[in-house]
Amino acid sequence: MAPPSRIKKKVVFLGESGVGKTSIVLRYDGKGFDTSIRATLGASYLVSTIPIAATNIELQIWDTAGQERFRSMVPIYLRKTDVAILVYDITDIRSFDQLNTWVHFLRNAETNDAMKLVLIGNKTDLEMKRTVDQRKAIGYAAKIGASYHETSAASNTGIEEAFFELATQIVASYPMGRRKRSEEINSVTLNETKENSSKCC
Amino acid sequence: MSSGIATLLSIPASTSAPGEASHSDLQALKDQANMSMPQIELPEEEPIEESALDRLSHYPYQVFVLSEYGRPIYVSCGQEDQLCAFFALIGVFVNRVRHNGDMLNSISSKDLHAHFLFRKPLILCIVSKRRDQLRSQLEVLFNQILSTISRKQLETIYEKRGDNYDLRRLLGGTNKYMDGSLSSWHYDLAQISSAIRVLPMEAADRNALSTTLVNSITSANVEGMLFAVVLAHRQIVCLSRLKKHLLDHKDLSLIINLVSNTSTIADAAIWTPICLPFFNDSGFLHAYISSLWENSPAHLVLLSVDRNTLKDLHLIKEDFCAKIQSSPKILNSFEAAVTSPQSFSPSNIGTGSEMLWHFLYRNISSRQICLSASRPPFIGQEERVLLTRSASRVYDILRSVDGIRQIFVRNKKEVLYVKAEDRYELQCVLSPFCSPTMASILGDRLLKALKTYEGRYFITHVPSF
Ligand SMILES: Nc1nc2c(ncn2[C@@H]2O[C@H](COP(=O)(O)OP(=O)(O)OP(=O)(O)O)[C@@H](O)[C@H]2O)c(=O)[nH]1
Ligand SMILES: [Mg+2]
Repeated sequence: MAPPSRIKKKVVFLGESGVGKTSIVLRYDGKGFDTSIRATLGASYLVSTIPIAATNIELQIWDTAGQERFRSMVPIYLRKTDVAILVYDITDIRSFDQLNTWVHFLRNAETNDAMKLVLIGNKTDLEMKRTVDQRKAIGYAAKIGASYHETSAASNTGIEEAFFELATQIVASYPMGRRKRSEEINSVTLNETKENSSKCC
Repeated sequence: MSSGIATLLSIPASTSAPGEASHSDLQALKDQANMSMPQIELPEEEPIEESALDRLSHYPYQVFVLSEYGRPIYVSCGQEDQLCAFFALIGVFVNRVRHNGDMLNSISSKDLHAHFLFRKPLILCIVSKRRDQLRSQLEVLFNQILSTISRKQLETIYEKRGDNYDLRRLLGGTNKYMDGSLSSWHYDLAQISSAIRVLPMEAADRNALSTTLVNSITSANVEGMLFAVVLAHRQIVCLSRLKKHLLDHKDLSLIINLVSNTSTIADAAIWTPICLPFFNDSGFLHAYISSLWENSPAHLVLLSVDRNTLKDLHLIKEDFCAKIQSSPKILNSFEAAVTSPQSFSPSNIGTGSEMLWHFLYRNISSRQICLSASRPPFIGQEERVLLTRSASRVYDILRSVDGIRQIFVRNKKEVLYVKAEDRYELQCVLSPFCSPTMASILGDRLLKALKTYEGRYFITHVPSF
């Protein structure tokens, strides 16, 4: 079975306010880098299409707000998510420490079964101010079953690669039928850490 | 306390380091104000705080929001943490008077005016070199806060989290909306007249547009959908609503403030909770905000009670856009109205119109205003600011003195003519050579012309779905 010519996926960006989610999305959308952008209100929704070989992947991107008052909306934003992109700021250890809260949201949300998880450490242009050790972050990504990328929206590094890898994975998950092994591994790892996760046969 | 405000701005530095107005400091300040306690010992003066206070005196106005417990929440010049002692002092003033069973409204000196608004659990205070519309500015700012944190949330948050709770955690990222609310008093005549502005457009074109909007809404049939608004340049293009529901002009002006201070990514839509306090101050609606075409100044706002409807509302927008795009007539008139709005030209009133330099008409029941197109001498930024100020003062007079029907003021550079009736208020700025009789004749002619072109400058019918 060849991959379909059109695939739709819901991608949700999560993470503390100020880590650069909107900046990454803007960069990816070809809008450059704007230092004057302001904290996102609720969630911002846009559709972007990546062609991979004969397949057009339509990413429905939800760039959510990290501000505390929108926390009650997170489960709504996460409903039926195919890909969750967790972002932290490599110069802000607190944004890394808070990742657990976001993972917790993900576990309790009604996301799609084979949801993929991506962890992004942003602001690599501020390498000299890094406070989050890269190995530690890679370890954490493995623990939660996420692929790991480092990016800079300011200097436009790593963003295209992260999206491209994601899109390739999405397409690759089709030829073998709906569920590919790597997907299962991701979702299993994510479920494993869930307390009292019911064993399925 | 009448000379208080001058000293208020030059009080000595605080009794605490910036960023920590502890309870004991508050008590100390309270006691100072009370004068019933012996002198307390002041620690070393804090240079930062002093320079921060110094900074304050350079602004034409400053607005403070604090909790009733004296905790800083917002100051319009920013960096509220540097002004803890000043915030505490405001709290002391207000609470002191409250404990006496009274309410502190204002303090005035020759050239500085302070106004206070207590809306439990918040205290709002404005200190300004001007005295007009101070209370209204605070009330609108309070509504702005309510649109982020509903009244219900606001009333219970301190009970839940304790008196020391820092409300800024919940207000995170909303300073720009508070700033926007305050700055609009200096340029937006709609804000000053507590009304909304309608984007000029032929009645038939506007109807075609709102019918299209209603069609898109009805065919999508989204449960929970309440209101739809199309706006551009802080002006309303068209509206529609669920049967039996009304959108208050004050809520509408909150939506306008929200949209005009939000940077939307060109083709992205926003989905956010919002409380519209005049619709329901204890709950949230959900707003879908999207520009109508790339880089368009026109935005569509859809409001729903259901937070799960983003996708459905997005389809309404797609459908609405597709319908507009496929009808050249609607598209062209809409685009023309948005890209080059045709305000009312005084030449519409015939001879003598060259004496009418500017006018502001306000319909009292619909809360819609109509402004004249700008023309000399009111072209530059500075002249427009003067116009706004004058209008603001006139509204203050109309609100504070009952029964005024007409005002005629001859200044060196212009004549101000105001006519107030039960249905409308009209303010005209005329040439200094205009006589009272002439002003009144021109005013009447203007009213007649506005009636003739009513459909172009006002929304007379809001279709429902
Ligand atoms: N140096 C540097 N600054 C960045 C980078 N990405 C974002 N920023 C800055 O970080 C700040 C916050 O960026 P946003 O993109 O608004 O952050 P956000 O995660 O969307 O925040 P919320 O919408 O509040 O959740 C802005 O001032 C950006 O200019 C980056 O890669 N490098
Ligand atoms: Mg953002």
